[in-house]
Amino acid sequence: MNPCHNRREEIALLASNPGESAQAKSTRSHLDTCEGCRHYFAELGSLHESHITAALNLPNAELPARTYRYVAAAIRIPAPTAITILAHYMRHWRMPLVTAGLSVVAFLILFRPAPSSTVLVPKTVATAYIATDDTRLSSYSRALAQSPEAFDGLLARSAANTSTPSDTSLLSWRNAPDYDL
Amino acid sequence: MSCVRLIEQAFTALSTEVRESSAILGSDLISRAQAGDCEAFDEICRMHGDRLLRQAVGLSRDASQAEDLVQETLIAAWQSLSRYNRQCQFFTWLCSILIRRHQNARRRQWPLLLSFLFRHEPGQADQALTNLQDSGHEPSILAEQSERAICVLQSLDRLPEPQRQVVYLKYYADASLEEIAAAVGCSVGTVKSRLFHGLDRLRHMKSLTQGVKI
Repeated sequence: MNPCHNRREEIALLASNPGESAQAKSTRSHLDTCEGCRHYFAELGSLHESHITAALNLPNAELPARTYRYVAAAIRIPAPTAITILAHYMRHWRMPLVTAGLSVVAFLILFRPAPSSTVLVPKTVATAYIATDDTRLSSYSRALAQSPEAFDGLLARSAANTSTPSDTSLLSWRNAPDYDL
Repeated sequence: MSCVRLIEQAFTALSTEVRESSAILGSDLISRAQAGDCEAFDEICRMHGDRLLRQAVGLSRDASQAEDLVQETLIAAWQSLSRYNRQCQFFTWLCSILIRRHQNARRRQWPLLLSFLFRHEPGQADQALTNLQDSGHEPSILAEQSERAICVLQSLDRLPEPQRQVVYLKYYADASLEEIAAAVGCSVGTVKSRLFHGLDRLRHMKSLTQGVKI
């Protein structure tokens, strides 16, 4: 038979704290009328008594003198101050220094900057451009500034006169279909 | 049942008398210790050391572990002495530190799960006594009672920590609900709730071991 759900806590308190308070009287009067609660009270009472008895029957013990001496010495050690803590770490500097160095190396390996997205012109190509005649370059720039048709015409004349791959590649580029950029 | 009630009343009366006689002396020592007097704290340790060791032996069931536990408890008490606000007995406050230290020590033990399973199997006290009888040695009454007492105390290990603290301080440190609330740092209502849930759970476990369906 189960106890009344709303009475369980007060029955447990009565079993562990027998007294004559108003709450205790109310609980006792309920126990007279409810068998389930009486059974629950009896079980908790038995538990209460077993723990009371156990508390009385714990084995006697005597703390040895060395424990008192150890505690007395421990409480007399001065508490560390900020200076002593700093001095302690300054005496042991090798490990923190090695740890810091390894951390920096790990950081540099993991978070190295990404390579630039711009395309570097190969040196040979740059050299080829530098090696061209300055006048031809200036004529190209003037033609381009004038109009795209003038620039095309200059390229066609240069291709007919020379067989440099740079000119033909430029011509092929100009003749390539337009792409929407 | 009436015998136990008489014992309980005698215990309560004795403990009240002991409390009153040592309250004045203890209060002065505590004040001096809180001011930094190491000699006063040494005296406090001597006043409570044996009682604390008795509790520690019941919790850990090992003399050397119990001594270490008491050592740690007393040093922790010295370090946190300023937090003792005299709302509970000093011994109750020490016991609250003791049971927390015991819980920390149990967490560090390996293998924790196996020791938890085998330490307080149902009927362990009876089995231990049977083994003693089988070996041809007659246990003394005191040893039998001590063995049972330790097994009953260690049944608290099955409770969650908040409930175990309250039930332990209620029965083994003989503290009132108000003192437990002050030592643990919660309200009296919370103490009542934890005490109820702890006892209810112990009753349920006892019923299961006896094969009674709840």
